[in-house]
Amino acid sequence: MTSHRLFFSLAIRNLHIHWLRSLLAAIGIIIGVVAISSMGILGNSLVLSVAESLTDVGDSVVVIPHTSFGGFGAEGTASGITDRQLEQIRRASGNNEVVPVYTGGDRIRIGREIKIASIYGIEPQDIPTLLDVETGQFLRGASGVMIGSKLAKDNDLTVGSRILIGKEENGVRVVGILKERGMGFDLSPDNAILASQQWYENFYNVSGYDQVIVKVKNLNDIEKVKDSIDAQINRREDEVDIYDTKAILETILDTFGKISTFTMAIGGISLVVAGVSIFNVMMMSVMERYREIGILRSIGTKRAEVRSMFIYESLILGVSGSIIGGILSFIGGYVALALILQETSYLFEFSSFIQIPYGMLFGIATSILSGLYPAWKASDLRPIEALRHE
Amino acid sequence: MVIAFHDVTKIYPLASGDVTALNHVDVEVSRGEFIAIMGPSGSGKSTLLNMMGCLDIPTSGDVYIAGQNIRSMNDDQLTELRRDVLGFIFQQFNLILLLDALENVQYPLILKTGETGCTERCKEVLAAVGLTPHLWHHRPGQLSGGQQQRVAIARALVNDPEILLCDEPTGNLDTKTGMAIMDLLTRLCREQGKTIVMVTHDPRIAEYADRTILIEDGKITENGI
Repeated sequence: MTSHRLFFSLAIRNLHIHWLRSLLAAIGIIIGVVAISSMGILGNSLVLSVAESLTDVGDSVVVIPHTSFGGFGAEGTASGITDRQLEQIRRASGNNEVVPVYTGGDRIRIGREIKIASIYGIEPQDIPTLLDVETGQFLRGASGVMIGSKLAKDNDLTVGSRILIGKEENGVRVVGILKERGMGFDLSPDNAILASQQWYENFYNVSGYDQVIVKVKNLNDIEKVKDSIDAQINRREDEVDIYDTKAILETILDTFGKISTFTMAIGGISLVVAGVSIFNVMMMSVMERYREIGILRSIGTKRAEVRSMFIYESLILGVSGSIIGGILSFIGGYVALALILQETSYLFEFSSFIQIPYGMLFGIATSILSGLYPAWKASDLRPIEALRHE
Repeated sequence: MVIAFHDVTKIYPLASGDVTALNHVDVEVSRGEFIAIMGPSGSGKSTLLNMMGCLDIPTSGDVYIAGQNIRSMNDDQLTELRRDVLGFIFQQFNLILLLDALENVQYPLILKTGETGCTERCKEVLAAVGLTPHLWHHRPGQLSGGQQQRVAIARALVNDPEILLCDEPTGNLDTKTGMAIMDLLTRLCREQGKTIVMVTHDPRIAEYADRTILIEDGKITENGI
């Protein structure tokens, strides 16, 4: 046993003698660590769950007709993208795939049930560029539709089922069911009907495309394609608005990340409170032991050695509180995810799980920081004055 | 000289005015001497002893302990001097309540050597001061005053210091136990050649010493009765 083991053992004995207040201080750290870690886990899982439901399509540039709002003489214009504009987009996009899309919604009837669904009109040969088929086949000609996986599941639709669209109840047959894709900034096909462009034009009165999707092959070119379309079409006035799904995706995930950090910061407040509690316990310990510190100093204990004894005390509180807090965070995180997101697998993702060691590190750091001043105060006592203390 | 004070003055600045605890004091103590310091309360005898123990430094003048001038030493050096050269015996015993008798004796030895495999030496010293082995693992609260003072003496002796500084070592003990402790101290001086400086109120206790220094109002009035 070196002298450090001696001071460690003294620290443990002192904490043991004052077990109740040591326990309370450790509980403070436990609560702090649990708050910060489970908030972190929850926030991160939220980001993961949003990212999952949002689809990973981040490789498209979406062009929609320009809409202006308010201002003098300005009025909302949304007459659709013309063939001339489409041609300009094609030119600006180089060898990237350009897919014009009609977007609408209508009432549909499945058996006796009447619902509302999104309806897309896309050239059949372009569909494989954007979407994958789960069962059945892609559209070949003008007739037939494909449907989203959720629409199929919710209404027990299979390949061959019949759907009646619009007030006129125009009957179409399902030829294929799409793979689940999640919400997107271009298409959200999971709950939608995908018809051919020709069918859409025949059935609805269209004045232009509602959006044009440019599938960019090389992700690094997204910005370039965007700028090039802007330069082609919006030369004189803003005719179209151009979004890039990658940037939108990043913005949304970034926003959720910030929310997650914010919730962790709220958890951090409880850790600050725990720090104050440890500070309080350590100060009490120092004040009660003035005389003992005087004895230790008078028989040859150096300042640094007195300091280390008190740092050990706060370290023991911090480490034990953080370990228990870490274990409880795992359990707490699991329960919170099960209750709030109904999905516990996020806990085992690295980015979630890492929140537990993070929380523990914060707990230990807080306890060390809170113990520094009391330890310094103890070591700075003049032995002669400490000895006189009753 | 193992202890030498040259023209030492100690002034405590207080709000009500400065207090001169030691006023141009000169003291010399030879190796192996047994000195008693006597004087009324507030005369400065504790200040004198504290300065010998490197717990206080003079306002002016020089204090030499084992040949080293304590005014030129930093806190760590003074602490090492206390640990290696000096042994303290207090009226209140001042044992560490968290540790048992053996551990209390071990404490300064661990500070010095950094090792704990040193119980043999501690047991030897505890036996030498007359503490029976069945008490070695008792905490201070479980020991009588005389037993605690024996542990304190063992603690003071464990690092084999040159000088033992005793502040009213029998003040909290009954006469019989006090006498036994004084016999022990005298033996340490005679047989092991320890230099002993002892502050006391009690003239009967002072009789054990080779020489008595009388101090009044911070000045030495008699040196060597």
